[in-house]
Amino acid sequence: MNSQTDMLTYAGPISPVARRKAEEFCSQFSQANKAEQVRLNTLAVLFVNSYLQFMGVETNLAASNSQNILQQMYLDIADLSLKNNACLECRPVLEGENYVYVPPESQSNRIGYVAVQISESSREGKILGFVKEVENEYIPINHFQSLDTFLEELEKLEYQEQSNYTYEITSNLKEVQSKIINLSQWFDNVIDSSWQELSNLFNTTEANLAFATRNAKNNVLSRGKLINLGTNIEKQVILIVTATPENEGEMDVIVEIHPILEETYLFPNLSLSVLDSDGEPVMQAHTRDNNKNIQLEFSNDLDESFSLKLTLGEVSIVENYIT
Amino acid sequence: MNDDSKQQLNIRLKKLALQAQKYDTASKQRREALTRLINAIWISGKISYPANYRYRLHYQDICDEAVQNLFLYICQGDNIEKYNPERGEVITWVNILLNRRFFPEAIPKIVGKERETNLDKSYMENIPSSEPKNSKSLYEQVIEFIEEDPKKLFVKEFIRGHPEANFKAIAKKRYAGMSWQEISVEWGIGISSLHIFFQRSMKKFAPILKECI
Repeated sequence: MNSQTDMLTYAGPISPVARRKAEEFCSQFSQANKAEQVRLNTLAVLFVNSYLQFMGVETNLAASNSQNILQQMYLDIADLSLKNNACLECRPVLEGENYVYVPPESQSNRIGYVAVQISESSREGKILGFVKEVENEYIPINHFQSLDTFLEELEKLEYQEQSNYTYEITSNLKEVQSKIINLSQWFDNVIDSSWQELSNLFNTTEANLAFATRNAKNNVLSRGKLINLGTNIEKQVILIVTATPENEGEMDVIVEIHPILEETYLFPNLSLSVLDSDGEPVMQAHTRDNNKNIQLEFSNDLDESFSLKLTLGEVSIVENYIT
Repeated sequence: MNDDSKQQLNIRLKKLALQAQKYDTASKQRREALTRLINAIWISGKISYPANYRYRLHYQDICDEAVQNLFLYICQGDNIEKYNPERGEVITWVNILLNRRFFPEAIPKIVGKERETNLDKSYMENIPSSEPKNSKSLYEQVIEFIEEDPKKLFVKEFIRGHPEANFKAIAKKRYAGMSWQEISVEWGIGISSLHIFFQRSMKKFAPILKECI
């Protein structure tokens, strides 16, 4: 992907303080592999924390889940909190390994992932690179981009903090801002992996009942995904898009917002808008106190684009579609 | 290292230092130049540490701590502006700083703390009891507490429609080392539903769990 010579990496000493902390953390665990996982995660997080300190980037180490031993017990996390609840994942990798492991629980609500190589002696660390998104659990090291991409991302983040505008963040797993979702292609089975079968998002049996009608017709496709309306999982909703091609070059589109599995109601004052190709709002729905879901239905000419905008408080997410 | 490559290194470091000086603090360009600079210094192998026999046991730790603080100093604020190319090479400037200031300063930090419990505040907050009340590790205490579940709190918290997928059961599977994928297959519940539910429950139960230990 990148030639090795151009790659900006950072290698430096791991501070003895970090090593001691990692030892203390991992000494709580009796299972050897868990202890080692916690040790490496801790070293990776602390090494990146030092680097960001050098760069004058504010971090909030104490607020990171990776610093919480209860979280470490059951999860494999190496997160580092930055300002404004932004969160960076610092995945450790050993010398000689070609892949970086990113477990499912670390794949969402991150501004990106850095790969941190820990030397065998645990004395030296090396930040190998950065990726903004991950699509599965094993990321080849050569997939990571030069650290200047990371520095750019940090700059954007700091800029966002300064300008107090509504900012747009990416939904779970995937960058949606730049990508246009092509609904016609769904029928050729070209569906981005962030869009899941409804049975994966809902209780299987309930989903069968509630969405049974949709499977009755052949030319109907429904897919859903998790959307984060904030920087933490407390503000997740499920977006479902159902597409039905009609005659005369049109497609019927139903857009629904549902609460995630554990919740009964949607957040109040959540709004869903459909914007036309000029960005003008054409329809809107919003939640009150006890809404179980909201829905908008419309037809769109084929090859015509539209956008969906979800807004909750200060946070807006815009997704661009084409039928 | 022969004279040629030594000279090349000096030219490169100087270029990077001057580049960093050119840009505003906290700009992307300055950060990039500083990253290249400290990275080049580290991998050059040209850092020279003062000899010290007294603290032989901790020598390596003292060196690491010293470089850590040296790099922080180089990058912080406008310190890089203190490097004057007319007075010498970057590596000379760096080694003088290390020998006169950062190495001596690192000694008490490393040696002094040897017998103290070295826990800063954030660490204390996250680990409720740093000295176990009994011989059991924190980990074992939590596992036992969840297993006993005296108020049946942990079984009552489950994924809607899946009473078997309760907090206690997931916790048990996780500490038995099962992956989300394996749990997902066993119960027929999506991976993201599982870990999102679990992470939420963890947050919810954190105060109770902390209290028990």
